[in-house]
Amino acid sequence: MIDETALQNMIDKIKVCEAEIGKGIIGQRGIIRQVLLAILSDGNVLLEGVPGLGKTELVKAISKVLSTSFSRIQFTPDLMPADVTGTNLIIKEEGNNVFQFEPGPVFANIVLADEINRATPKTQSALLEAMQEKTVTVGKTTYELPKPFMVLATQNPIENEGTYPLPEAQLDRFLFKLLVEFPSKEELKEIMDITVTNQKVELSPVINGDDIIAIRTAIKDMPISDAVMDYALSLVVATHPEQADAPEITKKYVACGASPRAAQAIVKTAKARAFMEGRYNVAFEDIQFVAYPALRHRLALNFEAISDGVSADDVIREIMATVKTV
Amino acid sequence: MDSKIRQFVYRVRSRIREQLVIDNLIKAVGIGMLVALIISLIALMIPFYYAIVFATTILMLAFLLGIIWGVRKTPNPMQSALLADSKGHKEKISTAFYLSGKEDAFSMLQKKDAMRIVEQFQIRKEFPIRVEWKRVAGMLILTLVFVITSLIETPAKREALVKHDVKQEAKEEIARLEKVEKELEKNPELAKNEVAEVKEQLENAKKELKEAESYEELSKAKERINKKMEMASKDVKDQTLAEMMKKAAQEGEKLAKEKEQELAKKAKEALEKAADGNEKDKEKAYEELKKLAEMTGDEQLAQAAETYKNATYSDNAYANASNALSQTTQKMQNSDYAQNNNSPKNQSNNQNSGQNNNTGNQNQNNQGQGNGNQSQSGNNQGKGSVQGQGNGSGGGNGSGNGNGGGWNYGGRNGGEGERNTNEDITIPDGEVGNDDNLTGKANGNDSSTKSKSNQSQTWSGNKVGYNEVSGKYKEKAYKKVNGSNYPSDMKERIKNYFDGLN
Repeated sequence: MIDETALQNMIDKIKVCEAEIGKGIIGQRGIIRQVLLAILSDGNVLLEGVPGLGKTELVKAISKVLSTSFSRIQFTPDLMPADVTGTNLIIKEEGNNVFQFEPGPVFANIVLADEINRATPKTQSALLEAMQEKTVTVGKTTYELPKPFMVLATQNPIENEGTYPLPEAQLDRFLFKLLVEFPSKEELKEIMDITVTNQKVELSPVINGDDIIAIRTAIKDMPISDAVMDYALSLVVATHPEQADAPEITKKYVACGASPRAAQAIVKTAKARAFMEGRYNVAFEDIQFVAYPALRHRLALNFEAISDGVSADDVIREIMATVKTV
Repeated sequence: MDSKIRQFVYRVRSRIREQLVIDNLIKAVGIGMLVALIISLIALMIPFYYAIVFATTILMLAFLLGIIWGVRKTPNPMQSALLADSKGHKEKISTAFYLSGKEDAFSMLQKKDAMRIVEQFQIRKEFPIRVEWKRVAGMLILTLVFVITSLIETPAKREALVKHDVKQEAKEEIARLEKVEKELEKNPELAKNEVAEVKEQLENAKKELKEAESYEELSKAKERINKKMEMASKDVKDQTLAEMMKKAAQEGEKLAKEKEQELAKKAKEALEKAADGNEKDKEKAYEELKKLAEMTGDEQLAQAAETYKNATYSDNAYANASNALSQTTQKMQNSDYAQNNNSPKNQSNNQNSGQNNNTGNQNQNNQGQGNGNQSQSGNNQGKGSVQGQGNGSGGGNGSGNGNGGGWNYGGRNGGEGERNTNEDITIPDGEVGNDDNLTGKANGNDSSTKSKSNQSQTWSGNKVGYNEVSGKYKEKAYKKVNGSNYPSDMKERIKNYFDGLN
């Protein structure tokens, strides 16, 4: 049975972890927190941002602090599925040729799928099973991935030539889509201080895989009142233009609303956020905090939205203004 | 822990309810007051007697609705908990309330966390009772305007009052008629066809009463009804029914007289009060005089009342009004006296007096019933269809007032008026022709006389019942039509016309 002290220890560990990652990554506090939320909620993250914002560094820093196995896959158009999942090799064993499975880079606790949109859909799809089922099937054999397992993918929103945009089905498997913004001037100065000098930042591991699994289990027990749950579900329902009481902006700009996975993502990550905040219950503000990263990649906007320059975040903002808490 | 949290949530809920009730009460009463004011304003222009009652009822309803609506809008306990949470407590209280009864580790920790907030939560401070003073001020202004408009006297209001009084009286009279109807129904021995006829008459009478809108109309309607009943008592063959109708007619007359006397008394009191009273007392006196004048059909009194008002209640006009009232009162007393003495015996003694007593000056007490045309100013206390010229001068101890208002010893010096010539005159049971058919001279002893005057004072005499007259005419018309060569359709139409006269 979980006691208050144990819970407090877990919360403390997460806070230390957050602070440690912050040492290596200047600024991007929101992104660090949201990545941690996804880790604690057993989800995958899609990081979107222009090159050079430290996306890959962030993932590396996280893997160091979490003290878990880490692998990086650089997605290119010629990358094959077997390059991701691993393949059966014919080897000689006691004079006979036998198949032996050689695990691919996906067999790690944290997998960095760098520039995931550069690989072909075939290769991208190789990650589908891993992301959702936490297994990999090669030939007739299914291999379980190590626990905890999560994919942190990055993509560049501006270089669209030669890229393969992720299909909706795959996007839906990402718990969060995080937008990595350009750092402020002060943050940029700090980045300079660390990166263009001989100053080195050493990151130490704070929690391991078992700790993460224990925290995930605790978070799942976090109570959420009916009213808060109702609010979260109302937000998801409000993204569907076919609903009679959908907000005007949804009816105007959304082609297809968020899936039930969005509701799961919101509730799971809201619990994690409450936990990180040191609370034992989920509040409306937790839902509001996680609504953007959980919903933005799940809303399919129509042409009108694109032509009007309306983003998914704009729609979510308006929905949150419409759906009342009390 | 659970009960403490629950108690806390209910306390918050009560506090929210108080605020909602106050808010809704102010809104509802404000709207109610606005509606009441509109009604009150309408009543200034359109006669609406129940305006104040109606407005007050609306206000009371608005008050009740405000409370009910406030209570109805009270949030449920969970919403109350959420409202408490909205004071920066991150849904701790509502979650604890939701977890009521759950005892797992997380739930217990959560409730413990919520309890820390509950213990420090100051409901009165977090949920202060706020009154929207702007709305209250608006409501007070509306109330003030409403009170003022309610106090303003306008002709429409006076008219409404009169109409209401008339309707009330009409109701009383209708109730009396219904009583008579019930009595008729109770008695199974009465002739059914006659009862049906009488009941039809009573129904018509009730309709007539309902339609009366002024004292004058009411008074006339009452008089007609009483006469009809009296005539009905004569027409019906059933003795018991005749007695009942007669009794009802007498009772009706008595009540009408009582009402007139009551009005006269009120008018007198009001006039006395107006002598040194304020404008309102004077207006009241005018109203009472007018009412009495309408009820009695006394034009002189009506004129005096109008003069009294138009002369802005001057002393002179007051004296005139007072005098007119005295005369009206006197007339009423005389009429009573005449009625009291109008026993069948007296009637039989004076039945022909109208035809025979019209010669010369007279100072006699003609207490009877007659149909003669008299020109007299004497102490004639009788009932008759008198059309006369009163040029007599009040002498002796009488208080001579105006033209022929002499009392006690007035002389009858009426002269013959100018005859209208070339005028068709129908003599009962006679021929239709011009006034040469009238063989008598005015003030003479002939069978029929005529005199005309604009200056006579007359007392209302016995009137011939409408039914009697129309009945006879109908009978005659039937006879003539049946004996004529008119087309049958035309005959039917003529008959229908006469049938419709009743």
